[in-house]
Amino acid sequence: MPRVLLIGWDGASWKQIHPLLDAGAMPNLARAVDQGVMGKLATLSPLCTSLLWTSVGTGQHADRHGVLDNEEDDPRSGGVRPVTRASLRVPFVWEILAKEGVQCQSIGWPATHPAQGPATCISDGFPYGVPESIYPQALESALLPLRFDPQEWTGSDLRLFIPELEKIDQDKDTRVAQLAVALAETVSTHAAATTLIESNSWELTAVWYGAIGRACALFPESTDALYKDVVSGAYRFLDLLLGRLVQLAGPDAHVLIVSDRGACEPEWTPADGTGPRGMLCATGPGIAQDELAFGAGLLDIAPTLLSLFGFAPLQGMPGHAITEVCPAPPTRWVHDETPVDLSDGNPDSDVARELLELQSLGYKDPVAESVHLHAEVARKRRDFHLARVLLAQSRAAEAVPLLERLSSAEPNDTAARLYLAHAYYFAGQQAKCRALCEALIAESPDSPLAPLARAHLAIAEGNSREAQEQLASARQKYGITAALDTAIGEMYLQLSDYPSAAEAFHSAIRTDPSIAAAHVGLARASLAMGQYDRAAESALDAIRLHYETAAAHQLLGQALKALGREDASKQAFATGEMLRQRRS
Amino acid sequence: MSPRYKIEMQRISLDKRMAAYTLAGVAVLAAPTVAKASSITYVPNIDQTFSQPGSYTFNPGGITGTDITITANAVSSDFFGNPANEIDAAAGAHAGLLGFIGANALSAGQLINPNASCGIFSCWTGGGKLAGYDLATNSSYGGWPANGDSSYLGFYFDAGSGKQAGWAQIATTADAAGSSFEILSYAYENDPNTAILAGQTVPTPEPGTMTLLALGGAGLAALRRRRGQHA
Repeated sequence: MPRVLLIGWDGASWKQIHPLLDAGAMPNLARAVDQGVMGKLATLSPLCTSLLWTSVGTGQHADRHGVLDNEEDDPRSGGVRPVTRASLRVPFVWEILAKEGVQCQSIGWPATHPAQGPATCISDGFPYGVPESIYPQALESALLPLRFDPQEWTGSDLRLFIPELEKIDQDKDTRVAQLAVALAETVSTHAAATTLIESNSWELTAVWYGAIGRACALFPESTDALYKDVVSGAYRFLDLLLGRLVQLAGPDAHVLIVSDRGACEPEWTPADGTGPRGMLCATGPGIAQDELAFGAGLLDIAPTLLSLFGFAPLQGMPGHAITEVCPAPPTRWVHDETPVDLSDGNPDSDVARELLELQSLGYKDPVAESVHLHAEVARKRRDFHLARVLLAQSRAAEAVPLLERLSSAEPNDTAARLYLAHAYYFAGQQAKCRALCEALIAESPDSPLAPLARAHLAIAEGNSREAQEQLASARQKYGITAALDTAIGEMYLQLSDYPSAAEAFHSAIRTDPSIAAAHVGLARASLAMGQYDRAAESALDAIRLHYETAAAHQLLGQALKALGREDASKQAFATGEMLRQRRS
Repeated sequence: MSPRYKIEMQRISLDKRMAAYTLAGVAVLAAPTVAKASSITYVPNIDQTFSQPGSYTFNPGGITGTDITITANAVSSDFFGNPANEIDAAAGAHAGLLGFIGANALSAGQLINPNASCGIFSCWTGGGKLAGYDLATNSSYGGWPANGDSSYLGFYFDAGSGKQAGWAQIATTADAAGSSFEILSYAYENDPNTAILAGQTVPTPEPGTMTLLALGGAGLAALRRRRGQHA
């Protein structure tokens, strides 16, 4: 049976890692990159830590696994609490494997509290000394002393992250204390993980570190120069820990280092609509050396872990095993796919019933009432996240009623209304989309997105004249932008004016070469004009930027076929079809 | 099996980046090379000689009461009432000297712990004899060499942030003809409540905190033991 070590680095990104690798500051990761495969991981929406990492651990979208936010309702207080297993509706992949006889353990993974079997579990409550954070209980005597208190840090320790620590007035700036808490959490998790790896018999260990994500949240790139070394310090620290984990796992272990998103990158780049990517680095027996992995996403990690133990993905798992990591096809299937049942065995539901009984007798808790507002806000946020999860799966029709309810409850919530317009658009409800867009534009008449939004709507409605007018107006008012040129190119494609379309896409790419949609458009225009080499190159440029774009692979296939490269064209068509089916 | 194809442009740029790395037989537990402040102030090459009567005062804490004075005395009474040539050391109100009654002569590498509790033969004192010559018995006493060899004086001072440990290397001579001493160098820890070794001029060459923590549970236990020893 193989040994597999899954390491989660919350918020890590290749963009930040590459300069550190180049400087020799992360030798353990550099060794893994050299010996294995590396790639980006497509992330999910919204960028919520607990939501994303539960998708990694379960292989399911959030509407299926149930963890929609970092908080959940607390029936004891009527308020909220950090999200726990109470929100979880499907098992983690290590729990599935444990039921199949694979010895598994997880340490510090989000939404695993309270700790429970069948796998050994050190929950995300462990670093904070929360009871019921260790399963089985027999491990408590060995592991509880390993909890590292933030007070144990010295000034010398923290100066490794903040060299000019003495210049900070910690009475006014609490971020140093918050950093100390985040680093203490990392030390506690690592101490527990290494102890279990050394002392337990295991085949799969999953350990999660939150230091990078927390450092990025506390000290974004624009922050005070005093803190400029914190994020890189967090990366270096995790690299140090990585070395020890790899050493303990042994030379025959598969090691997967993954992240959910780039925490220091913007959530959405308006120019091309893409978000920050996670990272993947995998090394071990059978894994190709010094290779790149393409097209993987967060939902592919769980199927990959199953595949490493010879199991096919579960029915309903939208992801696939990453072939660069496990090229051998699976030979067996999981016996029991019954999801976790959180019914009356959950003590929370007993508490909820008792509170309802008290309330029916007229009992009112004035303190509880004050936290209800916070709980209501959290509930709306979970509904908003659910709507975004559905939209990301092209289930716009299901997202519409959720977003309509939110917009009705909060008429001033622009974000919800923007997503509702988006949902109307993709659900084919163009009239409602236009009405809402006009209302939003009326509220922000000077927004540069207004004519662009109108132009896109006109294109969708087949109204090329209006699209042309809106785009010309936008160009006159705001000058040439890459996004605008891309929209102009798409409009010309609709009008079958391919030379003008190509010119517009070229202009977009000159301004910003990272817009995948511009390369796709140029590929389309080039193909229509019989410029097959140009079409193939543009399609490849689009794929390089955004592998998951099925249309780019289809266009590549068409260009290659026209160039007489049949085998390559079949491969491209097959990839495009696979991506299209994955999305549908 | 999902098909894939290589993007040569991306691979070439990746190879270029990879070529810039410095991989090597670095230890798996190489410490991070982030900037770290030096934790020891070292004052070398003082090389000043004082003969009786003469004294040298250094004030590592920079405030009143943290001074340490070495004095070469001529024909003064020693602890036992015998007149002799001797060398004494005295610490200010916010300083101390490591020794029992007097200040002990330390060898290179001996631990100077500013928070060590007093034992029978090691304690913090406000002053005492370093080297001296007993005319009555024609012998030297005080624990320090009387033949011009050097030893280390352990001290601490408290400038308000806690006790900072240090050492001074002093060559001492005391005989019937007189007494003299040469201040060679001294050093002290910048971090309060942190031990120093006699003669140490660079931060302790033992595993740093982060390297210990990287070991995991065992390293955490070792770190706690080390900090408990030095507390």
